[in-house]
Amino acid sequence: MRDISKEFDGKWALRDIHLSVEKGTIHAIVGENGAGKSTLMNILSGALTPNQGTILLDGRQVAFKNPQDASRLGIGIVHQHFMLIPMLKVWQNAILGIEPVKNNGKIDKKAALSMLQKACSDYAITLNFEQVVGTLTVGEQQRVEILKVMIRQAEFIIFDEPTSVLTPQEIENLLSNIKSLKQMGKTILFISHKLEEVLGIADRITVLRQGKLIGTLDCGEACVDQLVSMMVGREVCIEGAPLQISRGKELLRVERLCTDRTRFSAGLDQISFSLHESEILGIAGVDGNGQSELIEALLGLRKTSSGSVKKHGKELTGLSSARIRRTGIAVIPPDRQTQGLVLANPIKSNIIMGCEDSSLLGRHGTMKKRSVQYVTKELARQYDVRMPSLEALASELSGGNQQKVILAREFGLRESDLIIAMNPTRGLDVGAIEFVYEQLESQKKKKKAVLLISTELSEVLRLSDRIAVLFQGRIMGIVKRSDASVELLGRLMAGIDAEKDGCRYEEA
Amino acid sequence: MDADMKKPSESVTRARDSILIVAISFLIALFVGALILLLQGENPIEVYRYLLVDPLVSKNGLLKVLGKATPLIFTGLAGTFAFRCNVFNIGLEGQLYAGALTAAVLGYTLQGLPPWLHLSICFAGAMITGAACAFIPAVLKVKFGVHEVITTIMLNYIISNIISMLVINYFRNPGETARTPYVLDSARLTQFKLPEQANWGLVIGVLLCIVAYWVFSRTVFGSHVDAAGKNLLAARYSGINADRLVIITMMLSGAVAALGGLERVLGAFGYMEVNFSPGFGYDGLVICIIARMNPLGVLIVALLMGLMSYGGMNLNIMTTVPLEWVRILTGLIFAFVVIGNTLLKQRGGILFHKKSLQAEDAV
Repeated sequence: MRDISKEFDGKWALRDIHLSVEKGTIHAIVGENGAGKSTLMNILSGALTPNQGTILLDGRQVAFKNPQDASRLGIGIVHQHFMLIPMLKVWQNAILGIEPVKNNGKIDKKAALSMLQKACSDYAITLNFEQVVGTLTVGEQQRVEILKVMIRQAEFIIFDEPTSVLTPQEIENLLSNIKSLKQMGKTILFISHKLEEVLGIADRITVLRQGKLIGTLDCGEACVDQLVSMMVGREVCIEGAPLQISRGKELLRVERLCTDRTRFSAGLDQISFSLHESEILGIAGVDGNGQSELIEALLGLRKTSSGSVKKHGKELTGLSSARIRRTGIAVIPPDRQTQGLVLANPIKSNIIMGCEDSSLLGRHGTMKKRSVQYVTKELARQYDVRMPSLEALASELSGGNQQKVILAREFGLRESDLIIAMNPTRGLDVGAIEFVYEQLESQKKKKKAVLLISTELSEVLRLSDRIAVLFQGRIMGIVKRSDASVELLGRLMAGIDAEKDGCRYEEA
Repeated sequence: MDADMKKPSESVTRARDSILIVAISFLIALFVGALILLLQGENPIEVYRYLLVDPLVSKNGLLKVLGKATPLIFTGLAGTFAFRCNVFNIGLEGQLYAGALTAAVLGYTLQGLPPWLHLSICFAGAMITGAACAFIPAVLKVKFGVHEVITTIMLNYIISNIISMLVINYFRNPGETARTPYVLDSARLTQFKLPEQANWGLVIGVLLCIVAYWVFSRTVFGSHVDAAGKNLLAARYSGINADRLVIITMMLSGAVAALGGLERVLGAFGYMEVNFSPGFGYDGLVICIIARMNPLGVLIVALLMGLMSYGGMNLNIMTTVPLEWVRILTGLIFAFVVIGNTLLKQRGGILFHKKSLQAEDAV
């Protein structure tokens, strides 16, 4: 691939991507969510056409109008979300679209089965062809997808986040399947954000970040730290250290918190930590290792299966989300546009959303128009929201100003002693990032406890007094800021147990 | 900030534009309707005079228009409560029947009560039954994720047929068509003048619309409903108990729809007849969508529909234009309003002024 670029709505999803994959190798592409991995894959498979750039296959320039074109040229994809029909049997799914047909127009089942049988024995895949796909386990369904690709004679196979939905056992199976595909001379493109798998299997690794290609490493020379810092963005340089204040008494204690594994979530596994007044606890980790599950479980938006969350000694699990929030929790949600704001509403209503019953705005369940106007105007000024007017829709604001609206609401209006912020600076410019940092620290000064869940390592290092690392729904370790180094955290983020390396765990 | 004083605020602009959209859509619909009339060889001006002008110039006609509009005010408002919360209560028709039967039965069985008490009991009873009917799909949605459109449509059939069965088997006035006995005078909503004309139910409907408008614009509850209706996830993340809101708005919606049935029984007819509703519940859905879920808008649109309904009858008597044409016209209005609203949405709620505001958003 040369100079591939793709633009969506004026934003570059991919910018000048150079990628060369050698025949018969396993090439991994890693990057955070939104780094452009899926876009790249869709371009290679013909689902999207690039705005610029060319794709060369075996030295010949090719252009795909649709996925069928790509398939004909021997490019196959194993999708992250399977493209199977649950009601049909395995063999019916596998041959869908390329059915061998008898003279009388009926499907030649015998020919189909022998074709499938051959493919299965060639690539050491075990499957019961007569089983209905809907009844298969996720791992088996994935094997059907692989089988589909194989019988279409694909030479170049793309795996899109293939392990995100599998159990560890299934992952092992898959990786050995992939290795056997390589031995058959197939070329594999393996897209993932799980570093330890990639390191185990790939010959070469390419890192994408925010649509740009950061670098390609041979697996031999790739070290985890280097990959982590390439992935998590903003070169891990930490300007400024966390504000030094002595922490107060314990405010939040989470013990052995678990959530169920589902198809789209690996679940939380025995999460334990505590949080004190005037303290910022950073939760680092590569995206997709349980961050969303954690914030949802704490806020009562996701069912927990066991464990406890105690705030001031009072149990929170099992309460409704609204009750939990009323104990005094301010939240900066990870996605301000879908979770933080009602974009179709005026800025004014967004500033008071969820806090309308504040005594500043009115009483007995009503609001005074003049008080709302006065309070929101004052908050917008305090939090420096640059806006055309309070009546303008939230959708008209820039990202930084949208975030300030959320800060005005959560820090300015909501009464709280605990703040949970997830990726509070994602997609913001430097000025806005500084503003968010200042606000978080000023909350810390006000004796509030702050839980900062962030995939930006530099952010966690900049703000946190202690740092916990999430990996596959587990906390790999909690370290004091003074003991934390990029190398240590990087290893924890990659799932390498750091206990041996002298990492000190605090508390249970 | 000084700019706030000089030019009309954006909320005013938005309110103006949503009224304009309905007005323009109405005019375009009238124009297309006129083309259809011309194809049939009718005189559009004459037809529109019978349809839209004649009913309004006589006091008699005006009262009849108001009478026609009254149940639609209730069902339109009922739809508004649920739709605001992004819950699609298609079950207004069933809830209306449930309220009608309760009002009728309480109205003719409870004897010797003073009117204020008798009426209060009827109102309470109707609202409770309507709310109960809406509670079922609301709980199914919240607890099990069953889509309310399916359940409410099905419940419409179930409820209205159970009601018919009850009337025929238990509450039937002997020797008459399938209807209940007359309710007692102490339970009647007094009519302004003659049968089929407006009654005190109209006043209650108008008051309810005003109260609803206040609830949505000035109360914590209304503000929560608005947020949950527009972005459920954001509402949840801001600590709003969205599940409870779904149940409450559905029950309010059912209660108000039931009052629509009560108004027909205690106000217009004096008894409840099987299958008396020509689809008030469904018309209510249309009205609340045209009114863009604004309670005051519902009032205006319901009156307009009342006018079309009575004017249509007038037209049928005075000309050879078929009644179907009026339905076509209603459909056209609805279609154009929906198109207009979509266009409006794409422009961020403002139709006619250029977005000069964004320049100030820089930095």
